[in-house]
Amino acid sequence: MNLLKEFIKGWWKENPVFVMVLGTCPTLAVTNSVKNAIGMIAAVAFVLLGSSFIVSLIRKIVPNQVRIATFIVVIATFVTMADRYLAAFYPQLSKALGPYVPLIVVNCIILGRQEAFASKNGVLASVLDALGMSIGFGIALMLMGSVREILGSGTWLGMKVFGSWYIPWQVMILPAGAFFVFGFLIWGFNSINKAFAKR
Amino acid sequence: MKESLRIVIVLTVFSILSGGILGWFNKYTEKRVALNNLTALQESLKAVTNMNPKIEAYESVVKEKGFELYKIFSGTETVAYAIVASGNGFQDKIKLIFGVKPDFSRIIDLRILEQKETPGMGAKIETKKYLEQWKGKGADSTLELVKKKPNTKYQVEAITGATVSSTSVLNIVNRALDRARKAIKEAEK
Repeated sequence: MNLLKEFIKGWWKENPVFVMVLGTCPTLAVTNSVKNAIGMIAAVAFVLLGSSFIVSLIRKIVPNQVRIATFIVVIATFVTMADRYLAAFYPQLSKALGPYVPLIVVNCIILGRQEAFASKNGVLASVLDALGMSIGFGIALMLMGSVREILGSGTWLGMKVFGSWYIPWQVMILPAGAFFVFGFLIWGFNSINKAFAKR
Repeated sequence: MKESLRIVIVLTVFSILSGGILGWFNKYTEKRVALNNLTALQESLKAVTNMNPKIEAYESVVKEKGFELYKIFSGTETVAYAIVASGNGFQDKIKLIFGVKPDFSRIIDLRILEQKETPGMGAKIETKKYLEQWKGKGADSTLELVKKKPNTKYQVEAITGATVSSTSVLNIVNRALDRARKAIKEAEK
Protein backbone atom coordinates (compact mmCIF):
# COMPACT_ATOMS: atom_id res chain seq x y z
CA MET A 1 0.00 0.00 0.00
CA ASN A 2 2.83 2.32 0.93
CA LEU A 3 4.67 1.42 -2.26
CA LEU A 4 1.61 2.25 -4.31
CA LYS A 5 1.52 5.65 -2.66
CA GLU A 6 5.15 6.29 -3.61
CA PHE A 7 4.30 5.36 -7.18
CA ILE A 8 1.14 7.47 -7.50
CA LYS A 9 2.17 10.66 -5.69
CA GLY A 10 4.27 12.02 -8.57
CA TRP A 11 1.38 11.89 -11.03
CA TRP A 12 -0.63 14.69 -9.56
CA LYS A 13 -0.34 15.47 -5.85
CA GLU A 14 3.42 16.01 -5.95
CA ASN A 15 3.72 16.56 -9.69
CA PRO A 16 7.40 17.52 -10.15
CA VAL A 17 6.68 20.24 -12.71
CA PHE A 18 3.41 21.88 -11.71
CA VAL A 19 3.41 21.41 -7.94
CA MET A 20 7.12 21.29 -7.03
CA VAL A 21 8.07 23.52 -10.00
CA LEU A 22 11.27 21.57 -10.73
CA GLY A 23 12.76 20.87 -14.14
CA THR A 24 11.25 23.97 -15.68
CA CYS A 25 14.13 24.43 -18.12
CA PRO A 26 13.20 21.48 -20.39
CA THR A 27 9.51 22.11 -19.68
CA LEU A 28 9.74 25.56 -21.22
CA ALA A 29 12.39 24.92 -23.83
CA VAL A 30 11.47 21.74 -25.70
CA THR A 31 7.67 21.67 -25.56
CA ASN A 32 7.09 23.56 -28.82
CA SER A 33 6.01 20.25 -30.34
CA VAL A 34 4.65 16.99 -28.95
CA LYS A 35 7.39 15.01 -30.70
CA ASN A 36 10.16 16.91 -28.93
CA ALA A 37 8.29 16.55 -25.63
CA ILE A 38 8.10 12.76 -26.07
CA GLY A 39 11.83 12.57 -26.78
CA MET A 40 12.58 14.60 -23.67
CA ILE A 41 10.22 12.49 -21.50
CA ALA A 42 11.90 9.28 -22.65
CA ALA A 43 15.39 10.64 -21.98
CA VAL A 44 14.47 11.96 -18.52
CA ALA A 45 12.63 8.76 -17.56
CA PHE A 46 15.65 6.67 -18.56
CA VAL A 47 18.07 8.83 -16.58
CA LEU A 48 15.78 9.07 -13.55
CA LEU A 49 15.09 5.32 -13.38
CA GLY A 50 18.73 4.41 -13.93
CA SER A 51 20.16 6.81 -11.40
CA SER A 52 17.50 6.12 -8.74
CA PHE A 53 18.23 2.42 -9.07
CA ILE A 54 22.02 2.85 -8.78
CA VAL A 55 21.86 5.48 -6.05
CA SER A 56 19.56 3.40 -3.83
CA LEU A 57 21.89 0.42 -4.33
CA ILE A 58 25.01 2.33 -3.29
CA ARG A 59 23.41 4.57 -0.66
CA LYS A 60 25.10 2.76 2.22
CA ILE A 61 28.66 2.86 0.90
CA VAL A 62 28.74 6.50 -0.19
CA PRO A 63 30.16 8.82 2.51
CA ASN A 64 27.80 11.66 3.36
CA GLN A 65 30.30 14.43 2.48
CA VAL A 66 30.64 13.37 -1.16
CA ARG A 67 27.14 12.09 -1.85
CA ILE A 68 26.22 14.94 -4.21
CA ALA A 69 29.43 14.49 -6.20
CA THR A 70 28.81 10.75 -6.47
CA PHE A 71 25.18 11.24 -7.51
CA ILE A 72 26.25 13.70 -10.19
CA VAL A 73 28.77 11.21 -11.59
CA VAL A 74 26.05 8.54 -11.74
CA ILE A 75 23.52 10.93 -13.33
CA ALA A 76 26.04 12.29 -15.84
CA THR A 77 26.90 8.76 -16.93
CA PHE A 78 23.26 8.00 -17.73
CA VAL A 79 22.73 11.38 -19.42
CA THR A 80 25.75 10.91 -21.67
CA MET A 81 24.50 7.46 -22.63
CA ALA A 82 21.06 8.85 -23.47
CA ASP A 83 22.62 11.67 -25.50
CA ARG A 84 24.89 9.34 -27.52
CA TYR A 85 22.02 6.92 -28.07
CA LEU A 86 19.77 9.64 -29.48
CA ALA A 87 22.59 10.94 -31.70
CA ALA A 88 23.16 7.44 -33.05
CA PHE A 89 19.62 6.24 -33.60
CA TYR A 90 17.43 9.35 -33.72
CA PRO A 91 19.67 12.02 -35.31
CA GLN A 92 16.71 14.27 -36.20
CA LEU A 93 15.32 14.28 -32.67
CA SER A 94 18.80 14.73 -31.24
CA LYS A 95 19.25 17.82 -33.42
CA ALA A 96 15.85 19.22 -32.40
CA LEU A 97 16.49 18.76 -28.68
CA GLY A 98 19.95 20.28 -29.06
CA PRO A 99 21.74 21.11 -25.81
CA TYR A 100 18.74 20.17 -23.66
CA VAL A 101 19.65 16.49 -23.54
CA PRO A 102 23.11 17.07 -21.97
CA LEU A 103 21.42 19.63 -19.71
CA ILE A 104 19.38 16.84 -18.07
CA VAL A 105 22.44 16.52 -15.79
CA VAL A 106 21.37 19.67 -13.98
CA ASN A 107 17.64 18.88 -14.07
CA CYS A 108 16.49 19.40 -10.48
CA ILE A 109 13.91 16.62 -10.67
CA ILE A 110 16.66 14.05 -11.00
CA LEU A 111 19.13 15.29 -8.38
CA GLY A 112 16.14 16.17 -6.17
CA ARG A 113 14.79 12.61 -6.24
CA GLN A 114 18.22 11.16 -5.43
CA GLU A 115 18.73 13.51 -2.50
CA ALA A 116 15.17 13.38 -1.17
CA PHE A 117 14.26 9.77 -1.84
CA ALA A 118 16.64 7.29 -3.43
CA SER A 119 19.46 7.97 -0.97
CA LYS A 120 17.15 7.13 1.95
CA ASN A 121 14.98 4.29 0.63
CA GLY A 122 15.27 0.79 -0.72
CA VAL A 123 15.68 -0.19 -4.36
CA LEU A 124 12.06 -1.13 -5.06
CA ALA A 125 10.60 2.01 -3.45
CA SER A 126 13.15 4.20 -5.26
CA VAL A 127 12.43 2.71 -8.66
CA LEU A 128 8.68 3.10 -8.12
CA ASP A 129 9.21 6.68 -6.98
CA ALA A 130 11.33 7.39 -10.07
CA LEU A 131 8.73 5.78 -12.33
CA GLY A 132 5.93 7.82 -10.75
CA MET A 133 7.91 11.04 -11.06
CA SER A 134 8.70 10.25 -14.71
CA ILE A 135 4.99 9.80 -15.36
CA GLY A 136 4.28 13.11 -13.63
CA PHE A 137 6.95 14.80 -15.73
CA GLY A 138 5.46 13.10 -18.79
CA ILE A 139 1.94 14.33 -18.02
CA ALA A 140 3.26 17.87 -17.60
CA LEU A 141 5.29 17.89 -20.81
CA MET A 142 2.52 16.29 -22.85
CA LEU A 143 0.06 18.93 -21.63
CA MET A 144 2.50 21.75 -22.42
CA GLY A 145 3.48 20.25 -25.77
CA SER A 146 -0.10 19.56 -26.85
CA VAL A 147 -1.42 23.02 -26.00
CA ARG A 148 1.55 24.76 -27.63
CA GLU A 149 1.62 22.65 -30.77
CA ILE A 150 -2.15 22.75 -31.33
CA LEU A 151 -2.38 26.52 -30.86
CA GLY A 152 1.01 27.41 -32.31
CA SER A 153 1.14 25.18 -35.39
CA GLY A 154 -2.44 23.87 -35.67
CA THR A 155 -1.15 20.28 -35.48
CA TRP A 156 -0.78 17.49 -32.92
CA LEU A 157 2.21 15.18 -33.33
CA GLY A 158 2.40 16.46 -36.92
CA MET A 159 -1.27 15.68 -37.70
CA LYS A 160 -3.53 18.55 -38.76
CA VAL A 161 -6.07 19.44 -36.07
CA PHE A 162 -7.76 22.43 -37.64
CA GLY A 163 -8.83 23.12 -41.22
CA SER A 164 -7.07 25.58 -43.46
CA TRP A 165 -9.05 28.47 -41.91
CA TYR A 166 -6.92 28.30 -38.78
CA ILE A 167 -4.14 30.85 -38.57
CA PRO A 168 -1.44 29.43 -36.25
CA TRP A 169 -0.93 31.42 -33.11
CA GLN A 170 2.79 31.69 -33.62
CA VAL A 171 3.63 33.16 -30.22
CA MET A 172 2.75 29.81 -28.66
CA ILE A 173 5.79 28.06 -30.15
CA LEU A 174 8.07 30.94 -29.15
CA PRO A 175 9.54 31.14 -25.61
CA ALA A 176 6.89 33.69 -24.56
CA GLY A 177 4.14 31.16 -25.32
CA ALA A 178 5.86 28.62 -23.10
CA PHE A 179 5.60 30.98 -20.13
CA PHE A 180 1.92 31.73 -20.86
CA VAL A 181 0.95 28.07 -21.01
CA PHE A 182 3.12 27.18 -18.02
CA GLY A 183 1.49 29.89 -15.89
CA PHE A 184 -2.03 28.84 -16.81
CA LEU A 185 -1.33 25.16 -16.17
CA ILE A 186 0.22 25.86 -12.73
CA TRP A 187 -2.84 27.93 -11.93
CA GLY A 188 -5.11 25.08 -13.03
CA PHE A 189 -3.22 22.45 -11.03
CA ASN A 190 -3.14 24.52 -7.89
CA SER A 191 -6.79 25.52 -7.98
CA ILE A 192 -7.85 21.90 -8.46
CA ASN A 193 -5.57 20.80 -5.58
CA LYS A 194 -6.97 23.55 -3.35
CA ALA A 195 -10.54 22.64 -4.15
CA PHE A 196 -9.82 19.05 -3.14
CA ALA A 197 -8.02 20.12 0.02
CA LYS A 198 -11.03 22.12 1.20
CA ARG A 199 -13.32 19.11 1.12
CA MET B 1 42.04 9.61 8.41
CA LYS B 2 40.04 6.49 7.77
CA GLU B 3 37.00 8.52 6.69
CA SER B 4 38.92 10.59 4.14
CA LEU B 5 40.45 7.43 2.67
CA ARG B 6 36.95 6.07 2.18
CA ILE B 7 35.92 9.26 0.39
CA VAL B 8 38.88 9.00 -1.97
CA ILE B 9 38.23 5.34 -2.70
CA VAL B 10 34.49 5.77 -3.35
CA LEU B 11 34.95 8.75 -5.67
CA THR B 12 37.82 7.07 -7.56
CA VAL B 13 35.92 3.84 -8.03
CA PHE B 14 32.81 5.58 -9.30
CA SER B 15 34.72 7.82 -11.69
CA ILE B 16 36.63 4.88 -13.14
CA LEU B 17 33.43 2.84 -13.51
CA SER B 18 31.67 5.74 -15.18
CA GLY B 19 34.58 6.34 -17.54
CA GLY B 20 34.73 2.67 -18.43
CA ILE B 21 31.00 2.42 -19.17
CA LEU B 22 31.02 5.58 -21.30
CA GLY B 23 34.09 4.43 -23.20
CA TRP B 24 32.40 1.17 -24.07
CA PHE B 25 29.13 2.89 -24.96
CA ASN B 26 30.86 5.42 -27.18
CA LYS B 27 32.56 2.62 -29.11
CA TYR B 28 29.12 1.17 -29.70
CA THR B 29 27.52 4.41 -30.92
CA GLU B 30 30.30 6.38 -32.60
CA LYS B 31 30.31 4.35 -35.82
CA ARG B 32 26.60 4.85 -36.10
CA VAL B 33 26.90 8.62 -35.51
CA ALA B 34 29.63 8.89 -38.14
CA LEU B 35 27.46 6.95 -40.58
CA ASN B 36 24.49 9.25 -39.88
CA ASN B 37 26.61 12.31 -40.61
CA LEU B 38 27.93 10.77 -43.82
CA THR B 39 24.45 9.84 -45.08
CA ALA B 40 23.18 13.32 -44.25
CA LEU B 41 26.08 14.88 -46.20
CA GLN B 42 25.53 12.64 -49.21
CA GLU B 43 21.80 13.33 -49.19
CA SER B 44 22.31 17.08 -49.20
CA LEU B 45 25.09 16.91 -51.81
CA LYS B 46 22.70 15.02 -54.04
CA ALA B 47 19.88 17.48 -53.45
CA VAL B 48 21.83 20.65 -54.26
CA THR B 49 23.59 19.35 -57.35
CA ASN B 50 20.61 17.71 -59.06
CA MET B 51 22.51 14.42 -59.19
CA ASN B 52 19.60 12.03 -59.04
CA PRO B 53 19.34 9.27 -58.17
CA LYS B 54 22.87 9.01 -56.91
CA ILE B 55 26.20 10.75 -56.80
CA GLU B 56 28.89 8.60 -58.40
CA ALA B 57 31.85 10.06 -56.58
CA TYR B 58 32.84 13.11 -54.68
CA GLU B 59 35.98 14.44 -53.10
CA SER B 60 36.60 16.98 -50.36
CA VAL B 61 38.76 19.83 -51.68
CA VAL B 62 38.83 22.25 -48.74
CA LYS B 63 37.68 21.66 -45.19
CA GLU B 64 38.08 24.48 -42.69
CA LYS B 65 36.01 26.19 -40.00
CA GLY B 66 32.77 27.41 -41.55
CA PHE B 67 33.66 26.40 -45.10
CA GLU B 68 33.78 23.08 -46.95
CA LEU B 69 34.21 22.56 -50.67
CA TYR B 70 33.36 19.31 -52.44
CA LYS B 71 34.04 18.33 -56.03
CA ILE B 72 31.50 16.04 -57.63
CA PHE B 73 32.43 13.69 -60.45
CA SER B 74 30.69 11.70 -63.09
CA GLY B 75 33.37 9.33 -64.36
CA THR B 76 36.49 11.51 -64.46
CA GLU B 77 34.65 14.68 -65.37
CA THR B 78 33.81 17.32 -62.74
CA VAL B 79 30.07 17.91 -62.99
CA ALA B 80 29.55 20.23 -60.03
CA TYR B 81 30.93 21.75 -56.89
CA ALA B 82 29.11 21.77 -53.58
CA ILE B 83 29.84 24.24 -50.81
CA VAL B 84 28.90 23.92 -47.14
CA ALA B 85 29.16 27.27 -45.39
CA SER B 86 28.04 28.82 -42.14
CA GLY B 87 27.83 32.27 -40.62
CA ASN B 88 25.90 34.34 -38.12
CA GLY B 89 22.16 34.65 -38.50
CA PHE B 90 19.70 36.74 -36.48
CA GLN B 91 19.84 34.54 -33.39
CA ASP B 92 22.34 31.79 -34.00
CA LYS B 93 24.53 30.24 -36.65
CA ILE B 94 23.02 29.50 -40.04
CA LYS B 95 24.57 26.57 -41.89
CA LEU B 96 23.74 25.95 -45.51
CA ILE B 97 24.84 23.96 -48.55
CA PHE B 98 24.63 24.87 -52.21
CA GLY B 99 25.72 23.40 -55.51
CA VAL B 100 27.52 25.33 -58.26
CA LYS B 101 28.08 24.51 -61.94
CA PRO B 102 31.69 23.40 -62.61
CA ASP B 103 32.50 26.68 -64.45
CA PHE B 104 31.02 28.72 -61.57
CA SER B 105 28.42 30.31 -63.83
CA ARG B 106 25.30 29.41 -61.88
CA ILE B 107 24.10 28.18 -58.52
CA ILE B 108 22.30 24.87 -58.99
CA ASP B 109 20.30 24.73 -55.76
CA LEU B 110 20.49 25.73 -52.10
CA ARG B 111 19.40 24.08 -48.86
CA ILE B 112 19.54 25.24 -45.24
CA LEU B 113 21.17 22.66 -42.96
CA GLU B 114 20.87 24.38 -39.59
CA GLN B 115 19.11 27.52 -38.41
CA LYS B 116 17.50 28.83 -35.24
CA GLU B 117 15.80 31.93 -36.66
CA THR B 118 12.47 33.21 -35.30
CA PRO B 119 9.63 30.84 -36.26
CA GLY B 120 7.26 32.50 -38.69
CA MET B 121 9.77 35.22 -39.60
CA GLY B 122 13.43 34.42 -40.21
CA ALA B 123 12.71 30.70 -40.21
CA LYS B 124 11.03 31.24 -43.58
CA ILE B 125 14.51 30.90 -45.12
CA GLU B 126 13.75 27.19 -44.95
CA THR B 127 10.56 27.43 -46.98
CA LYS B 128 10.38 26.13 -50.52
CA LYS B 129 9.17 29.47 -51.82
CA TYR B 130 12.32 31.24 -50.66
CA LEU B 131 14.77 28.48 -51.63
CA GLU B 132 13.26 28.04 -55.11
CA GLN B 133 14.56 31.45 -56.19
CA TRP B 134 18.18 30.45 -55.58
CA LYS B 135 18.05 28.04 -58.52
CA GLY B 136 20.04 29.48 -61.42
CA LYS B 137 21.38 32.56 -59.64
CA GLY B 138 24.71 33.82 -61.00
CA ALA B 139 27.74 32.46 -59.20
CA ASP B 140 30.42 34.45 -61.03
CA SER B 141 29.80 37.75 -59.27
CA THR B 142 28.60 39.18 -55.96
CA LEU B 143 24.87 38.79 -55.35
CA GLU B 144 22.74 41.58 -53.94
CA LEU B 145 19.56 41.73 -51.89
CA VAL B 146 16.46 43.45 -53.28
CA LYS B 147 13.05 44.06 -51.75
CA LYS B 148 11.09 43.63 -54.97
CA LYS B 149 10.93 41.01 -57.73
CA PRO B 150 14.53 40.43 -58.89
CA ASN B 151 15.19 41.34 -62.52
CA THR B 152 18.75 40.09 -63.01
CA LYS B 153 20.28 36.78 -62.03
CA TYR B 154 22.46 38.58 -59.50
CA GLN B 155 19.54 39.75 -57.39
CA VAL B 156 17.92 37.81 -54.55
CA GLU B 157 14.56 38.77 -53.09
CA ALA B 158 14.47 39.34 -49.32
CA ILE B 159 11.76 37.87 -47.09
CA THR B 160 9.35 40.52 -45.84
CA GLY B 161 9.87 41.03 -42.11
CA ALA B 162 13.07 39.03 -42.07
CA THR B 163 15.65 41.30 -43.66
CA VAL B 164 18.36 40.32 -41.17
CA SER B 165 17.98 36.61 -41.86
CA SER B 166 17.83 37.19 -45.65
CA THR B 167 20.96 39.34 -45.49
CA SER B 168 22.75 36.71 -43.41
CA VAL B 169 22.04 33.98 -45.94
CA LEU B 170 23.18 36.23 -48.78
CA ASN B 171 26.40 37.18 -46.99
CA ILE B 172 27.19 33.56 -46.22
CA VAL B 173 26.71 32.64 -49.89
CA ASN B 174 28.76 35.59 -51.18
CA ARG B 175 31.61 34.90 -48.79
CA ALA B 176 31.57 31.19 -49.60
CA LEU B 177 31.59 31.85 -53.35
CA ASP B 178 34.59 34.16 -52.95
CA ARG B 179 36.43 31.63 -50.89
CA ALA B 180 35.59 28.80 -53.30
CA ARG B 181 36.84 30.69 -56.37
CA LYS B 182 40.15 31.33 -54.61
CA ALA B 183 40.40 27.71 -53.49
CA ILE B 184 39.85 26.44 -57.01
CA LYS B 185 42.43 28.83 -58.50
CA GLU B 186 44.93 27.61 -55.94
CA ALA B 187 44.13 23.99 -56.72
CA GLU B 188 44.63 24.55 -60.46
CA LYS B 189 48.09 26.06 -60.03
